[in-house]
Parts: sequence; C-alpha cells; structure tokens
Amino acid sequence: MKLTKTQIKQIIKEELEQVMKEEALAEEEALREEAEGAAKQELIDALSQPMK
Amino acid sequence: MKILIEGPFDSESQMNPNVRKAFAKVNKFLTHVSEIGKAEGVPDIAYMILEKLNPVEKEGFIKIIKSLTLLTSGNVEMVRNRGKTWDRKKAQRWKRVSSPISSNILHMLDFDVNSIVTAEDYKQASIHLSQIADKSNIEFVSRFDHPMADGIPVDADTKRRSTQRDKARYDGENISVLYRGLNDLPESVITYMITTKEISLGNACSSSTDVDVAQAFAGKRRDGFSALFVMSNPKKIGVDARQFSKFSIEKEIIIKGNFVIESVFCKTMHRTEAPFENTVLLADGQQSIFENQSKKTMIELAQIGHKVTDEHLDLIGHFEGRKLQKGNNLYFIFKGTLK
Repeated sequence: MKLTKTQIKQIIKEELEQVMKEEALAEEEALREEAEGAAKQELIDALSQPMK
Repeated sequence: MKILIEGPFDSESQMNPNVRKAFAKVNKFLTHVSEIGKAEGVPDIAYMILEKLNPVEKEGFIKIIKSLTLLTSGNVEMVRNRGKTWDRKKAQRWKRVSSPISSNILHMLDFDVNSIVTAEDYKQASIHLSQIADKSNIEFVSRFDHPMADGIPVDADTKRRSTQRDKARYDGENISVLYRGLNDLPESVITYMITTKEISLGNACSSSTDVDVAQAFAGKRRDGFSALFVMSNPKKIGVDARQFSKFSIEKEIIIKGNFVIESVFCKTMHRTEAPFENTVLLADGQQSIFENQSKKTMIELAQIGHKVTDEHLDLIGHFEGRKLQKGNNLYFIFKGTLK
C-alpha cells in the first residue's frame, strides 16, 4: 500500500499527539502523586502535634 | 543517687509482661487517687506495685515514664526529630517537664529527676514510642490484682464472677473508642483524607478518650478546615498516658498504626455538639469518589473554602444544606477502626 505525503503527515501528527498526550498524563499523574505525598506528610506532621 | 545509663532499646525486654502489667495496675489504681494525693508523693498503691519490680523491670518502667513525659509535656518537635534540634541552653530538668506523679515515681525508682533532659533522651523516647505505641499496652486489671487483695478471703466463685464483671467493664471502657482532633488543615490534606481509605498515624500520635478534648482542639483555630477522627480500638492499641501526663485533663492515649476509614461525615463546626449531630453529607469511607457522589461533593465543598458561604449552599442545595451554618468552618468527621 502506498501512502501519500498528506497521509504520512497525518499519521506522524497523530502519533506525536498521542505521545504528547501520554507524556502530559504521566506528568499529571506524577504531580498528583507528589501532591498526595505532600498532603500525607502534612497530615502526619499535624497528627504529631499534641492536642493542647 | 543513681543516674540511669541509657542503652539501646529493645521492645521485647523493655516492655516485658511484668512491666506492662505493673504499668496497667498503676494506671488503674491511680484513678482513685486525687491529684493532691499524687502530688504529695508516690501513693502507697503505686509503691506496693513498683517495689516488686526487679532492677531491669524498673528500668523498663522508667523508660515508659520518660517517653510519655517527653511526648506529652516535653518538646514534641524534638521527639519527632529525635533530638536533632536540642539546645543545651534551653534544656530543662526532668522535674520541670514531668508531672508531679511521674516525678515522684521516677525519684522512687532511683532516677535523678534533677538531671537535664538530653538530646539522647529525645532520641530514645522517639524510638521507644515508635516500638510500643502500635501494640496493646492497655492490659486488663481486675480488683484482685490490687496488692492488698491477697489477704481478703474470697471464695473461687465470687472471685470468678467479680473478675468477669471487671472484664466486661474493661471491654466496654472508653479506651475502646479514641478521638483525635485536627485544626487549621489546608484543602490538600482534607482532599487526601476524603479520597484515601486508610490513614497512617505516624510514629506517635496523641489521642484522647474524651470527645470534648478532641473537639475543642478541632475547633481551636479557624484559619483552615477542622477534622475529627473517631477511632474504635478493639485491640486496645496504645500507651495510656492519662495518669502520668502533666495535662491529665486531656485523657491522653499515645497511639501508632493505621486508621481504616469506614464513614466520612460533613457538617459545620460546633465544639459542644455531639460529633454526628446535624450531619449534612455522609459517605462510605471505603468507596472512591467515582462510586460515591457524597465524597465528590465533599471535595467540591472543600475546594470552595473552609468557611461556609452561599457558594457552598448553592452547590449542595439550600434545603440539603439547611443545617450548615454560614460563617462557620466546615468540619469533617472520619469514623473507623484503628489497626
């Protein structure tokens, strides 16, 4: 099967978009995990304070 | 006077059964001694229990009192950082930081209460509490464990029935439910608590058998969210600091472990109101925000802000939110089990 230049461009564009989307999702996930880790630590700090 | 030389802690040897039992007995029988009586010296009942300990067990007892003292009335931050921020110039003597009864008992056990609390003391307290706070140290003590009970003639049947009654009282005692208040929490922490199913309590966490103490603390500062943990404690996990704390009114139990959330309640903060009264939203603690609409709504409420406004009421509906009081703090109550 022979692909036209436009089709090849379209495929590359879609592939790039897919990769960028996955990267953005991974980054978002990492940020979410980091925020959750920070919140967890903040909670442990709060729990270590006496109730005075 | 002998000064105790600290060695490495070993939970097996330091919290041996005799020390644990003696600790439980002293705790139990001191409840009937007035604060004045405790301040005057070592009460007879405590003396009779403690004099039976051998030197190694006495050391174990001293370590418990010291650890509890540093967490309840010493520098909590230094217990956490294991004495790293200890400053010689600010260091206090043991008799200054300990409660009168703790000071008297330490003195009776030949510990020099005039000695300075050192960085090593904080380090050892941190290690020690971390070792013992997630285990059950709240043992059952019957009336026949009283040192003077030996001389009382009681037939076996009466003894069995009385012990059963004491055990039933012990099982139903308020140690079975512990409370922990939190104030001034940011939205990120509230969101984390709502979304997670289990919360780690860190190395050593203060809790109380008195809901009023925990609620008063939860409502103490109004700059952030307030929260309350209502933790059932079937395994009686924790170290009982009620008789030895300088602040006995706090009815403090030191705990460590994981808190498994069963339900989450949302309402406005009222220090004097029963915890679950006037709840506006209730969610299953084990469900995700995708399975439980109430949880999702709680997070959306938290995102708006910690003080109840019209925006909060618009979100949940004015009829649904009629029990929310505008201007008051949002209050999240987490009910579950300590494991």
